[in-house]
Amino acid sequence: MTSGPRIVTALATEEHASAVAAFYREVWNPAATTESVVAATRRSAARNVAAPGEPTPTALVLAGNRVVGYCGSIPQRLWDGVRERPAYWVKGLMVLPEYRNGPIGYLVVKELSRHLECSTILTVAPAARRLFSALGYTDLGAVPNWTRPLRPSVMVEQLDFDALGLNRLPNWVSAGVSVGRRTGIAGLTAKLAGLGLDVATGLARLPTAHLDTTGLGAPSRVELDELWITARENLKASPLRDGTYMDSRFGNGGEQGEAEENAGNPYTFVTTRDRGRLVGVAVVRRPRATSDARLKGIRVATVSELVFPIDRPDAGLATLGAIERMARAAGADALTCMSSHPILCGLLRRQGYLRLTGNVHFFLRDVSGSDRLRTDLGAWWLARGDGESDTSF
Amino acid sequence: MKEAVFEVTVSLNDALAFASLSGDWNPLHTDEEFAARSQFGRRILHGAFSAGLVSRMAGMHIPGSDCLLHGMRLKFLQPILPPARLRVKGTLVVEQGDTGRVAVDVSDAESGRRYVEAWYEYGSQRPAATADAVSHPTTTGEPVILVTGASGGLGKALLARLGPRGIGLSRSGEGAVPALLEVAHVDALTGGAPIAGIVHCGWPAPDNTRLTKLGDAAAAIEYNLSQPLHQSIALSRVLIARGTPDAILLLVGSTAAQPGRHNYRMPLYTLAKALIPPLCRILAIELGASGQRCAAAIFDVIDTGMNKAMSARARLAHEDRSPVGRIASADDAAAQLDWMIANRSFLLSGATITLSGGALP
Amino acid sequence: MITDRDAKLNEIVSAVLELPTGTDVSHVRQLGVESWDSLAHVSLMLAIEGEFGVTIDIADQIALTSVPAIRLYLEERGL
Repeated sequence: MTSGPRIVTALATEEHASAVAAFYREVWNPAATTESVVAATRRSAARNVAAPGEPTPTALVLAGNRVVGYCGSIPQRLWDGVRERPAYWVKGLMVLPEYRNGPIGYLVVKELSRHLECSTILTVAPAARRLFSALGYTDLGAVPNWTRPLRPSVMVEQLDFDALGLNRLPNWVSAGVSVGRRTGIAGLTAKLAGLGLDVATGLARLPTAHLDTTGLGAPSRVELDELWITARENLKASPLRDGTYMDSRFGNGGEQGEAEENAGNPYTFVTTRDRGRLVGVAVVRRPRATSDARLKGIRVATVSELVFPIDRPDAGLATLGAIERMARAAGADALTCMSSHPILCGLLRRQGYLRLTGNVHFFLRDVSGSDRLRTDLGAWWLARGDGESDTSF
Repeated sequence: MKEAVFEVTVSLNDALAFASLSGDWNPLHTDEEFAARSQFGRRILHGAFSAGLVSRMAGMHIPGSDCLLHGMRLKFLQPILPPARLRVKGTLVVEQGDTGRVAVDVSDAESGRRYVEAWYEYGSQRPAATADAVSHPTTTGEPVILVTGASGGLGKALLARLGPRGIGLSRSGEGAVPALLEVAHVDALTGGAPIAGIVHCGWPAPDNTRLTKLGDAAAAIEYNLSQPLHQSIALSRVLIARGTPDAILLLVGSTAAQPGRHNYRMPLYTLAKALIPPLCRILAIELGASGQRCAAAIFDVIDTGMNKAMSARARLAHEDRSPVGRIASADDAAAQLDWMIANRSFLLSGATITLSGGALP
Repeated sequence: MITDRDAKLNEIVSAVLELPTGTDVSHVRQLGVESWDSLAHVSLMLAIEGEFGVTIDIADQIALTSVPAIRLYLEERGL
């Protein structure tokens, strides 16, 4: 005695393009067409680094001919300390409003997971986290967020430090903030505090003076490949960050997503070279009003990517300095970076980054039979641009 | 679903009798030698004879004795070659109050070969069940509110609220009006009283036939889409001619026009109701030239008329979509229409207000 | 008087939705309970299938959005 159309799960093929386009129009993009969906599918298959030429797995739940649940993926390769492995980011879980809180979300993620031997997720929403955990994904924990104030007066006026979990601020910051707020001269106090911070972090970077951070533009793929090969030697777990990935993700050949970024590529490369050789690279996403409600509309530049050999802390510090200069030039009030790796976390602290309570959880599921992928979050080298999460939150 | 079947034997004499009654002595029907030389090889029955069979279905079966035939359409698939034993089957496909639509099939009783595909619309010459819901025209000169679809649940509930200032219009029963209302008809009903508002509830009921399965798409489109649009235009003209300076035309829409769990199971109804928001804005501009207004009220499921027969499970499913766990009664919805009628502000014009109690799609 | 079936159903609902002991769940609806999310719904359906030996079609699962609706569904199956 079933009522309503038949509900089926399916892996998307080109035959579903019309239905998928209709779904996109309802949920994300009013301009989506069957042709644009087919074109995007073919493009992603051509660029699939996990299974070259294969369409990127996308799961659908259909009610009759209508897509009511959707979950996509992004191909990637993972480094497990010894070798590269094909994998996917799970991305774009969406259920139509009238079908939420029913079985659809569960069904669509379950269907997708059937086709993914190794997959990772970065997500914030608690309901989604419960779902992924129930479907066999291991929650490795919340990846710490780090914020470097560039214009502290703006931040002091607008931030709720308690909500951000900033209960272990450096003394000079917390004292300055509380005095400023009590006396009403927050701006002045923060300016002085900020000045102190800048001087301190500048001094910390003095040993990097021999490194060149003035280069403009993206390095070549060859240079990026060489840097990655060097950097990965000391890494236990990381998504691949070679030239192919960096170029397609952040370069002008990549797909940059958000409709509002129509002024062009939102990413800028900064580089560190040691006598001409690339020893550090970062990608900064241009400042925008942050989507994190806790940061209340201040303009935040995001460190979407950062690579340097962890046995070269000088390269790391120099790159962070370059990031800071670039962000200031772009008018940012603050920088944000995401990392769980102890080496990078140490450098971030030295550069005046404040650790915030993490809200982005990293999930891992590997049913390949290999147990090499680490399940301790500190072993992972993660960045804000991973899984395109710098476009979502 | 209500059905009726009867069989009839038609002979060559029946063809002659029809020719005599109708005056159609075309030799294809009456001259054996002429017909023998035609592509059919013998006499064929008048196509219009089948209209008589349709009339019999309406007058004797569905709805039967109180039938008032409003219109019929026939499609001749194959000629009938008498003598022949015919099977005539009627299926009630839409029923709303005292009106309805019936699909008719005329086929060979033995072979099943289909001769004629037809449908007809009917009303009833019997007064509506609750006659007091259809008010008599007022003669006081006070402004009146016209309510179309007066024999439906929402129309009746609204008329009950409006009392003597409400005048019900329906296609049958007391207050019966022609298919398209015109100014002359209105004067007879209102006794010349000015019209403060027209509430257009009289849209065709949902038809669950899929678009790609429509037998007669042209007829279905005419009935479900064109007619309601014509009616809205006609009512607007009535308002311009006889309305008070701030009179309002209220269109009644449905959330079935938007995406939802209904999955477009009533496609023609959805398409018709989807017209309402832009139609409201267009008519607001056109009526605005004479200071008059148009607005639309969008309801979710109302527990009346066509929805009274819903299963217990469907009822629960609709209640569960509602934040307060209720389905609106006809009176709940009528109260909202009354509230909109009472709002004399120009700011209401062009507004489409969804009054679904926050029900999920 | 409450039937065994209803008592069992109420017990399952209370457990899956993690409602406080003693809560009257006989009229609970999805819209009114925060813990009744997608995962809770699937868990509820699986638990009902296991307890009552019935397979609930996905299209029906979508419509079972309250305890009264689930009760009616089970009644219609003679459970």
